[in-house]
Amino acid sequence: MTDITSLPASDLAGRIAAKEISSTEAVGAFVAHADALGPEVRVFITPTFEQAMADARTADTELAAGRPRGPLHGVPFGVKDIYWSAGIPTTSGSALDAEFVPDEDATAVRLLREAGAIPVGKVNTVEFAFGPTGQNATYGMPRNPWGEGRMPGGSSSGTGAGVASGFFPMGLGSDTGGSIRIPSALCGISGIKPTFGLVSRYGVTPLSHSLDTAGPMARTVEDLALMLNVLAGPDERDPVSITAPRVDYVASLQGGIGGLRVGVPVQYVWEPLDTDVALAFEAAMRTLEGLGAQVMEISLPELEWTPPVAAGITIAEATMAHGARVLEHGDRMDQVTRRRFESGFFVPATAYAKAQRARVKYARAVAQALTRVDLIAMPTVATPAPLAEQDMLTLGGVEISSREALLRLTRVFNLARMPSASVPCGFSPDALPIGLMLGGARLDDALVLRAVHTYQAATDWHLRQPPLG
Amino acid sequence: MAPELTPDAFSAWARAVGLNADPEHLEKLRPEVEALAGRLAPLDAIPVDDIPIEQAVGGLE
Repeated sequence: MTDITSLPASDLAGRIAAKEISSTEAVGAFVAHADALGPEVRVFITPTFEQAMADARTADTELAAGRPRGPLHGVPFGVKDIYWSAGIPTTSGSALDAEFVPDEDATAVRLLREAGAIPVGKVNTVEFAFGPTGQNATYGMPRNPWGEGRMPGGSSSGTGAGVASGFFPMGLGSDTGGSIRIPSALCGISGIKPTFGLVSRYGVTPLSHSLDTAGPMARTVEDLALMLNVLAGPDERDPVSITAPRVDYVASLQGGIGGLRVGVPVQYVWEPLDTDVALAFEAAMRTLEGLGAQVMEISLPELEWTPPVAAGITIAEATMAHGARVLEHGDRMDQVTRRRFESGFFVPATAYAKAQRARVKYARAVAQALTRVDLIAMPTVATPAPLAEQDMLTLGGVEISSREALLRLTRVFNLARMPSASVPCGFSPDALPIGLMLGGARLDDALVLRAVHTYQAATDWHLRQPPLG
Repeated sequence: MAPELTPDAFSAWARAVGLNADPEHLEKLRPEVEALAGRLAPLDAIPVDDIPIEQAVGGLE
């Protein structure tokens, strides 16, 4: 008998549409699994299991009446708790917002519900999405099902751990410096940070307004495409929302990668980098070559600017977004996060403007590189999941903070405002997942998805089940 | 970042922006600010004269 909780969202949607299983059975299986493991896994901040079961019964009634809502009819999903949900607390992972109950859904939540998907709860996030480790002083660190005590990655920690644990097959994340792709890599699932502005951020708690990107996380790339078909589109209520040509991301998955040029930067990526991550990445490049891609080195020295440019923008804008509340209620926050916000008060406007000008130059350099190749490849994260207590790591003989090690590669595509996706590409000797990241030019989201889908179809890393699921 | 931020200047800056100026709190905050200053220092070496500020700030270039 098929374990429903191990099925991808696209498979579930197909079986529900064909009436092979009901939405009640599907949602019930995920909810029962999450309930059985209990709150100690710290994935959910506000579970909405009863409402989800009621929604599933409604979905079954609608389907029986020949009125399916859309391509995700009856399929459960998790909602990072920085997305507004009408009538349900939206904490942003902070005690400061524990009582905040929005009166409408975020656009992304609304679109998924209109497509028939069913939210099963609000899931954990780093406080105000400000950090890559997954730690949260108020709501705890979600358990990474690949290793007890291992960081799940953040800030979309609950979505990553929840998908990997089989609590829901897909979910919403957000990505300012890697917050979709880092937990995707560390939890062994798939995630895409779409082109900046492609998915509405209306109703999503801001962190860094010029970098924040909403997007999907799921078991498979096919599921990401299915979700992006629903999520992508203009929204006048998000000031950076763009109007792009309509693309069928699912149909675009086909066609393979024969002849595609994949560039691997010679600078920045390789030090510091965990040896096992490097080996898995090299093997992934050979797989891409075997699938017909041309893998070649590219020079992109501007990547060395990544840490200062990202810091100058993110920290200043985070303080713009939340500084006033931090001043007033900082004693109720995680004190490490509080100090990170407070440090933003010491960034001069001139430094912020310099970082923004450097970002534009940086993005132009990446765009120029993407005229010579179709895609840029690198590991998603420089290390497999660190232990929660590991503040510092030694990677390839170089000492680096865990926080910086997690962020240093994913930030590239945030600063470039270009799409990039992470998929599993191997495991460390400790059986921890390793991620492969491919990025493409602005609005080349379909190409990025096609490439990682082609890779995923030729490998089985994404099919492995975690020991603690 | 302001170079060579002395303890007194750091404390004054913190008070000016409205931070909790309790010495114990500032003692913990100061390393965070110094680390940030270190991370931002390489910005000085990035040539950006060819990027008009109007294109860069506002987030919609």
